[in-house]
Amino acid sequence: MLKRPKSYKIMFVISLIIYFIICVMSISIGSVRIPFDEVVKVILNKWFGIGDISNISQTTITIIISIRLPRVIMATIVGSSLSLAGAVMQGLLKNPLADGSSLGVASGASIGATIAIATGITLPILSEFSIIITSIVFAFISLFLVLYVVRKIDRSMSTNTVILAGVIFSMFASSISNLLLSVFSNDTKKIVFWTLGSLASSNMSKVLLILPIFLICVFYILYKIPELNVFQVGEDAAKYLGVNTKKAKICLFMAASALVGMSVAMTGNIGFVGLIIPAIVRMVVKTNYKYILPFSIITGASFLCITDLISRTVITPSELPIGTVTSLFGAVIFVCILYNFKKRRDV
Amino acid sequence: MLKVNKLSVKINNKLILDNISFDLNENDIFVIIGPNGSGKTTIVKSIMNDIKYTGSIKLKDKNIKTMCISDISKYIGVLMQNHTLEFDNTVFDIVSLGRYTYSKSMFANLDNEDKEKIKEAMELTDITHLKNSSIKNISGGELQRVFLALVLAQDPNILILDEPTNHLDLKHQIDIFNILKKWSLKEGKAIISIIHDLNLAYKFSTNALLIKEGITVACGKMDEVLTKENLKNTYDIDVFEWMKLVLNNWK
Repeated sequence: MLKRPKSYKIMFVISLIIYFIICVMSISIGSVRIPFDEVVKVILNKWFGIGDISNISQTTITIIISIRLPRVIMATIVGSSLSLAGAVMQGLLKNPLADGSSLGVASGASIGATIAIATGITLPILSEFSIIITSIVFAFISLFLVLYVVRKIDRSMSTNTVILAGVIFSMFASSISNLLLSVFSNDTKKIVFWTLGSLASSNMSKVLLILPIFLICVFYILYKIPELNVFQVGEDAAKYLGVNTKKAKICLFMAASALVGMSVAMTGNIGFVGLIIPAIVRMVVKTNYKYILPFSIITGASFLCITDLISRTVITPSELPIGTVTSLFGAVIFVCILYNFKKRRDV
Repeated sequence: MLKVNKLSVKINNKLILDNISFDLNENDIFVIIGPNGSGKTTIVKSIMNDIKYTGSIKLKDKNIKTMCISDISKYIGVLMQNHTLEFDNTVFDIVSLGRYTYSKSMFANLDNEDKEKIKEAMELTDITHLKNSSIKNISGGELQRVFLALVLAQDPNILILDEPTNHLDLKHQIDIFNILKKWSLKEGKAIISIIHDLNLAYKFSTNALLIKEGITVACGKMDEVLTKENLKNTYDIDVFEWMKLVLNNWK
């Protein structure tokens, strides 16, 4: 049965509460266990100057503020970026299987990042920033390359052709970045990082580096909600309904690939988030982007926080690459979506 | 309302449309008739400023070329031939997209005028009872009415239809044209429709343009255009004799 918007608002508030609970859990659980109330007290004190934390040990405060909190914020940014980008790509291509990893955008972005690392070419002041910029540029180039090739092969841009081209490009791009890493750095750990992702190197300065890009892209995409809705009836029909389709499409693709590129530069290639989160959200809130996008943001953030928690606690003291956990869930859900989709097509 | 004057379109050095001219007046149902590949859809694309052309197309004395798509879409609504939907939209969701051109803020809800227009469009096309149904669970005839309602919710003055009765059975074809006829009689409205079915064209339209290979065969009042001679020239078969033959076979 279809739910009414009013219940969506309640659901959104519940999602927010769940997200905050997951955040506090992620900060509390780990090799050193910190009680929930101490986590809340420290954050309230450090950020808002409320309450007294003189009885909490300095080590605990350091673990919370400089290690676990940045990691949770990074998971939030990357999780919501990937799932928002996935939702946008699915909407523009009218393809429920599209996302950063299935279209090869993420692998393309990792070529950019590895080139920046391997060649050591950096921007004068912001060396960390140059990796982000090259990732974003390569993400954008890969997306347009894949879509251009698909358009040449199959003008109707059918779902299967798009995904096939994306997967092929994705494999090609990962071998190039692995090759670059093997030749230039000889460090296989880095290959694992770029193919499976990790949030382990998160810190506050990295968070502050990507926060502006994240906010700009998110607000731009939210601003374009009416256009995304109209795109559901097809590009030609959207044009006749008054959308400047070419401009809207390019700008939205740019924003989505910027989100993916930035995430890859920070945490490597974390697969499937952009695919499964919007798919799950669509099952609940149906097809209005006014609801799909905010729910994708909050659910994506919660999902990555919780998978990160699993990845770093399940085999302590070492860490599982987060991509293993997301792909574990992702592959199963991907097959289910594909199966449903095929079945509906065949009817 | 709409004046098309000496419209010509060239694609890859091939002349697709050659000197097409016609006027559309209030309450007209103007049909464009011609064989496949005669340039009918190209006329629609030219009117929507979607293709390069020479000649002039004026909407209420304003040149279409100087208008942007969001302005044109407030005057002209287009019902396309094919609808592809990937996601599980409701009928109401789809119809309300027709109001896009009027409201553009991101989280804005539909205002009263929007709701009124949507309600009107759904009543006219008789899909109010399907309001909350999924677009995946309705029939082809209902889907076509949903998309017609979407374009009507756009509240255009001119409605352009590209074979609106394609893939529909006879009853649904007549239903669609009855809806269109009713709508076209409202103040300040007019319809342009590409159509293949000569009987429907004859029954419902007021004016017609008959084209072949981008060239006008005849243009004007319905009974002056659809003559035995003109149809023979357009389709290279004797349409009149063919219809008589078919009719005689009915028992």
